[in-house]
Order: sequence, then structure tokens, then C-alpha cells
Amino acid sequence: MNTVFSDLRSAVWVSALAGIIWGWISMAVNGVTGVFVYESTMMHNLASFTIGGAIFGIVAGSFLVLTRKRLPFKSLIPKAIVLSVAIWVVMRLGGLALSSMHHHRYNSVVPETIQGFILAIVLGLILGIMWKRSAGKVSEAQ
Amino acid sequence: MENVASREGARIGAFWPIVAIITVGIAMGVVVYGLESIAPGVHDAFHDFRHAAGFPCH
Repeated sequence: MNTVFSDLRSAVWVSALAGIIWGWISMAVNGVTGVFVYESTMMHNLASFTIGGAIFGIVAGSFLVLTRKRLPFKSLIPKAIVLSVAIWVVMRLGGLALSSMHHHRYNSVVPETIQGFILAIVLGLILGIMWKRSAGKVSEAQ
Repeated sequence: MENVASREGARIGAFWPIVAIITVGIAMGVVVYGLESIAPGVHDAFHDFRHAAGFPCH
């Protein structure tokens, strides 16, 4: 029990860091692709992508801690990718439901959806790599 | 007796991380869907982030 929860605590920090890196990458990727033209200032977006990225990272990392032993992959990286994409799909389906109820309020845009899906894979990749590295450090310390 | 105490300690130790994760999960919902009724202003604050991450918005 203790091991699981000490993992959970360290998961929050590693995942938040992975999420922040992902947030900055997302901001850069969207800036390059121009899929959505930014409406806020760069400083505002730097803050919102940092906080939003950390939130996404913590949620994905927490699910990784709770479900990693049940997922049918040996490596942490595919596990993290599957989880990250699954969370994104669930949230996106929620968005789809909102869109069908209030279509004037929630508009789905296909290029943004494709970009979001790819970024979800990227989040899983970053999370998996960072988790693998931190797990390696823990096992070396022991 | 020691086992019971360590189990109690583990439960107390687990409480705050779980509360934190549930809170972050709710925050994720607010960020993704921009629910103004729950957190006014959050919708505008995360507008660009929501679009870049592929979630529907106005």
C-alpha cells in the first residue's frame, strides 16, 4: 500500500513536469501549424499552457500509477501513450456530447481535433519517457 | 498492533494525494469544457489552450 501511495505522490511531481513540457510543446506546435490563430498574448498563453499542461500531466500520470499493472504492455511508454490518448478521447467525447446539445456554443473543428489527438500521443510519449527515467533513478538508488 | 498503525498511517498518507488528484481531475473538466458557472473566467483564461488541444469551443 505504502509503495503505491509513495508512487502516487512522486507521480504528481513527475507528471506535472511532463505536462508542463507538453504544454509548451503544444503551444509551439500550434504556433507553427497555425491550426488555431492565438487570440491571447504570448505571456497569457505561456501561463495558461503551463497550468493546463500540468493539469493534463497530473491526471494522465495518476491514471498511469493506478492502471499500469493492468495494461497489456511491458514498457511504460506505450502504456502512457494509450492512457493519454484514452483520457483525451473520453474528454473529446464529452465535448462531442456538449457540441450536440449546444451546437451554437461548442463548435468542433476537424484540424484542431486531429492536432489534439496527435498532441495526446505526444503527452503520453513525454510522460512515459520521464516516468521510465525516474523509475530508473529510484531502482538505482535502491 | 503495529500493522494496524501502519495501515492507518498509509490511509492518512493516501488521503491528500487522492484529494489533490480528484481536485485536479475536476480542474481538467473545467479547463476542457470552460464551465463558466463553476469557475467564472476560466473559460477565457484557457480559450487558446482548449482550441490547441482539440476540444470544442465557440
